[in-house]
Amino acid sequence: MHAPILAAFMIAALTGFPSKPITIIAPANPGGGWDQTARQIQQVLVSQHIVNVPTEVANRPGAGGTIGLAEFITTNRNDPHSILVLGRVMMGAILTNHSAVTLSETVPLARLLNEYEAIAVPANSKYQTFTELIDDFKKEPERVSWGGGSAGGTDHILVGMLAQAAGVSPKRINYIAHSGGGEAAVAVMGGHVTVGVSGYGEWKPHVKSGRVRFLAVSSPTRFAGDTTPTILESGLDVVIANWRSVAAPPGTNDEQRGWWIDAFEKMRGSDQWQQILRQNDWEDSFLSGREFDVFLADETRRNAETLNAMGLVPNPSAYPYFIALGLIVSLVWLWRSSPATISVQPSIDWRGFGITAAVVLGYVLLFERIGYVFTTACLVFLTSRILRSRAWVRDVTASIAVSGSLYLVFEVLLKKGLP
Amino acid sequence: MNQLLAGFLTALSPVNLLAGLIGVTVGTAIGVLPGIGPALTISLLLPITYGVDPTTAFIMFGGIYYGAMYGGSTTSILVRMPGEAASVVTSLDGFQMAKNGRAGAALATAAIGSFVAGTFATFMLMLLAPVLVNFALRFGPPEYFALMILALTTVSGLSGDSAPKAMFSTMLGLGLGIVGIDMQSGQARLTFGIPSLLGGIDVVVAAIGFFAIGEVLWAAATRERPDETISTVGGLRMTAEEWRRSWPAWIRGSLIGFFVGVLPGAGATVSTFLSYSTERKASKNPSEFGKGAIEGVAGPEAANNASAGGSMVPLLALGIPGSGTTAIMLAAFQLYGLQPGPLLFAEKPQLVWGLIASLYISNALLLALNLPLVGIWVKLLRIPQPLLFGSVLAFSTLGVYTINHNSFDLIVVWVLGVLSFFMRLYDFPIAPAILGLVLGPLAEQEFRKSIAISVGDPTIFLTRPISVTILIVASIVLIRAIVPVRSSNDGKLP
Repeated sequence: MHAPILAAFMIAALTGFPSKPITIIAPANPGGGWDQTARQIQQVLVSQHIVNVPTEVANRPGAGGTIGLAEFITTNRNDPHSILVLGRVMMGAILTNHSAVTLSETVPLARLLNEYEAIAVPANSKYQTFTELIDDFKKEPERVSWGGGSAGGTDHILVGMLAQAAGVSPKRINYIAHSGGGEAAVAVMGGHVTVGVSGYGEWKPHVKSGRVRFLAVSSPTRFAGDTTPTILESGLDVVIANWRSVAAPPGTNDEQRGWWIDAFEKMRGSDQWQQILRQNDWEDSFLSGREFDVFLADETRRNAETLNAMGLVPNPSAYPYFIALGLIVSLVWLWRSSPATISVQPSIDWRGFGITAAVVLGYVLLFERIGYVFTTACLVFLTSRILRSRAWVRDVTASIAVSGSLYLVFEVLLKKGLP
Repeated sequence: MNQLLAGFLTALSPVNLLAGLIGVTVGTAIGVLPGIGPALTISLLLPITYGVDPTTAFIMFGGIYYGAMYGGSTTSILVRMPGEAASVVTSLDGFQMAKNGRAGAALATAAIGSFVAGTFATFMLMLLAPVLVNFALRFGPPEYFALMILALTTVSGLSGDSAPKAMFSTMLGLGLGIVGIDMQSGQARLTFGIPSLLGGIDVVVAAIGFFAIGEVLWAAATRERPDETISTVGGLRMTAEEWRRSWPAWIRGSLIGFFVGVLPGAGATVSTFLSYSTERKASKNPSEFGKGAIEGVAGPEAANNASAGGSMVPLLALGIPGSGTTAIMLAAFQLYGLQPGPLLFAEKPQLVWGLIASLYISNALLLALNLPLVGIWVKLLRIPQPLLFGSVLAFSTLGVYTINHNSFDLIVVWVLGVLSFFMRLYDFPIAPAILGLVLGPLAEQEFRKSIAISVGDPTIFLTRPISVTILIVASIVLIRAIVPVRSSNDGKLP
C-alpha cells in the first residue's frame, strides 16, 4: 500500500471521518461552471489520494443554485460527507429569489478560485475601445444592450457597477439575460446584442477564432500574455471576480471542518490543481478560516448594495395576464359555441378512479419516508388489484420483482440515492 | 475525403469500436429509462473515461447521445411514457399504433427513421458545418420568436374536434410554462412560495403526469375486460403500405430536425412538434393523426435524431452547446484540455474526423441493435394489463424522482395526472398543453429579448428577413387552419 494512502487511512481511523462515500454537490446542470468546478475537485481529490473513499458529483440544478442550497441545508444537515460547490452568483440568486435559506446557514470551507469577467463585442462592432463604448453608454444607456447570464448574477452585477461608476442610473441598463455564457456568446457572435459580459475563459476560444473582440477585463491587472486592458485603466473603479468556494452542511463540527480545509489545502498544493487553474484561466484565490468568513460577510453586503441600487427589476411582462385572459376567452367561447359538448361519459367507474388516485397519492407522499422497495411493491400490487387482476401469487411475485429490480438498477448500478 | 477515411480507420480500431458499441447500448438503455438522459449519463461516465484517449471517450459519448434518441421512443410507443422530452410527440400516434396492434411497426419505423435521420445529419455535419454555423448565428431573438410561433401553430393539428377546447388546453400549457423563475427579471412567478417550483415544471415531469399517470387513472375508471393484453396484428414487420408512408416522413423529419438542431436556441423537442405538424399537413388523411398514423411516429422520430446530429454543428464548429447533452460534451472537451471551434478541426483532425466517422458507425450499430429488440419490446405488451399499468406507475414515478431528486415533483405529476383524467373525461385534447409548456417559455423570453434589443420597437419582427418569412409562413398555416374550423362551427351553431 502506498504511504499516502496508509497515512490517510490512519487519519480516517483516528477521526472516523470520512467513513462513507463523499458527494460533491454542484447546484447546477451538467456542463456549467459549478459543475465543471465540482468535477475538477473530484478528479484531483481522488487522483491525488487526498480522499480515499468513493467520491462522486451530484447535480441539483435550478434557480441560480438556491434549490440545491436549500436541499443541501435540509437533507445533509449534520453529515459533512456531502459538500456544496457555490460561488458569487448564488448570493445574487438568494436575494432575487427571496430564498428562504442563505449562505450563513452553511459552514464555509474555502474559497478556491477567482474567475474574472471580460467584456466583448462582435468582431465587426464599431467600438474599438472600452472608453468609446462607455461614452455611448453614458449618452444613451438604453441603446447599449448588454448580453450576459442570469438576472442578478455576476455578469448583471458587473454592468450595474459599471453604470454606477460611469454615473448612469442603474435602472436604465438594457440588460438581456441568457440562460448561460454559451447563449450570451452566440448573441454576441451573431451581433444580436451590442456587447457581451461573461467569464474570460468563456470568450477566449471565440476571440481566438476571430468572431469576437475583447474590450476590457474585470481583473485588477491584465492577464498574462493578453493586451486587453482592465476596466480600471479606463478610469472606472470596478473590479469584480466570480469566485467559487466550497461549503459543508450545518452541523459540521470543527474537527470535520478542519479535515476538509486540510484536504483542500493539499488539493491546492498539487500540480494537477494548479494546471487546471491555468487551463481554465482561473486565478488561485485560496482563502479559508476566519479570513474567508470575513470576506464572505463583506461580499454579501457589497452585493446587496449593488443589487438594491439596480432595483430588483419589477416584472414588466404582461404575459401571465395574457394567458389568464386566453383561458377565460376559451371557456366563454366553449360555453357559447356548444354547451352540449360538455358532457360526462356515462360509463365512468368513479370508485376505481378514486381509489387509484388515492393509492398513487399515498405512494407519492410516503415513499421517501418508508423506503423505496416496500412502497413500490405495494403500489404495483394495489394497482393491479384495482384493475381487477385475479392472480394473487403472480401479482405479489411480480410486484416484488419490479420494485426490487428497479431498486437494483437505479440504486446499485446508477447510485441515484433512493430512499 | 482522405480525412474521413482516416477517421473511419480511427473509429474502426478495436478499442474505439468497442467504445462505440458500449455507447450505443448504454444510450439505448438510458433512453428507455425515464428521468435519466444522455447528459446525466455522460457526466456519470466522465470520471471513468478520464485517462482514456479523448477520441475513444467521445466516440462513446456520441454513441450514448444517438442511442438515447433511439431508445427514447420505446416507452412512448409501448406505454405512453416518454423517457425524454424529444419523444413526447411520438407517444401521440405511437401509443395509438400499439393499441391498434401495430407496436412492432411503430418501433421499426422509429428505429429505421432514426437511422436515416442520423446518417443524413452526420453527412450534413461533415459537409456543411462551417456554412451552417453562419446561418445559425443569424438567428437572433426575433428569429427564434418567429420559429416558436410557427411551432405553436402545430396546435391546429393537435386540436381534436373543438377549437375552444384546444385553445383552453394550449393556454393551460402556456400557463404551466410560466411557473418558475423568469429569466429576464430573476423573479419567481406562480410558484406560490414553494421553493421546489422555482425551477419550473420539467417537460418530462409534465408528460409523464399527463400521459402515463393519466392513462393509468383512465384505465382504472373505464376498466372493461381485465387481464386482457394488447394483441399484435399482422406481425412485427412493417407492411409495404407502412414503408411507403414512412419514407417521405423520414426525409422531411430529417431535414426539419437537422436545421432546427443546428440552431443553438431551439432544440430537439421543437423540431419534433414542427415535424408532426408538417406530416399532418402533408397527409391526405389528417383525421388519422392522433389515432395511430405511422407518419406521426416516423417524422418526429427522424427529427429528434437529426436534431441530435444538427446540434453537433455548433458544438464542433463554434464550441457552443445546442442542447443539454452537447453542453456536457463541451465540458468534457474542456476537461481534456480541448477547445471545440474552428481550430479543433485544424489542430485535432484525428479526433474530429474520428468522431464524425464514429457517428456513422454508431447509427449502423444502433439499427442492428434496435431492430431485433423490437420483437422483445413488443413481448412486454403480453404482460397482463393490470400488472403492466402497475409497473408503468412504479417506473414513471421513479423516473420523475430521479430527474431532480425532489419528491415535490411527484406531487406535481399526481396533480397533472388527475387533471389529465378530467380533461380526457370532458374531451379536452392533452397534447396542446404539452406544446404550450415547451414553447411558451421560449417564445416569451425571445419576445422580451427582441423588444429589449430594439428598445421597445415592435417592428423588429417585420424588418428582419428571416423572422418576417417565418412569421408569414406561420400566419398562412394559422389562417388555413382556422378558416375550415370556423365554417364547420358556423354550421353547428343553432
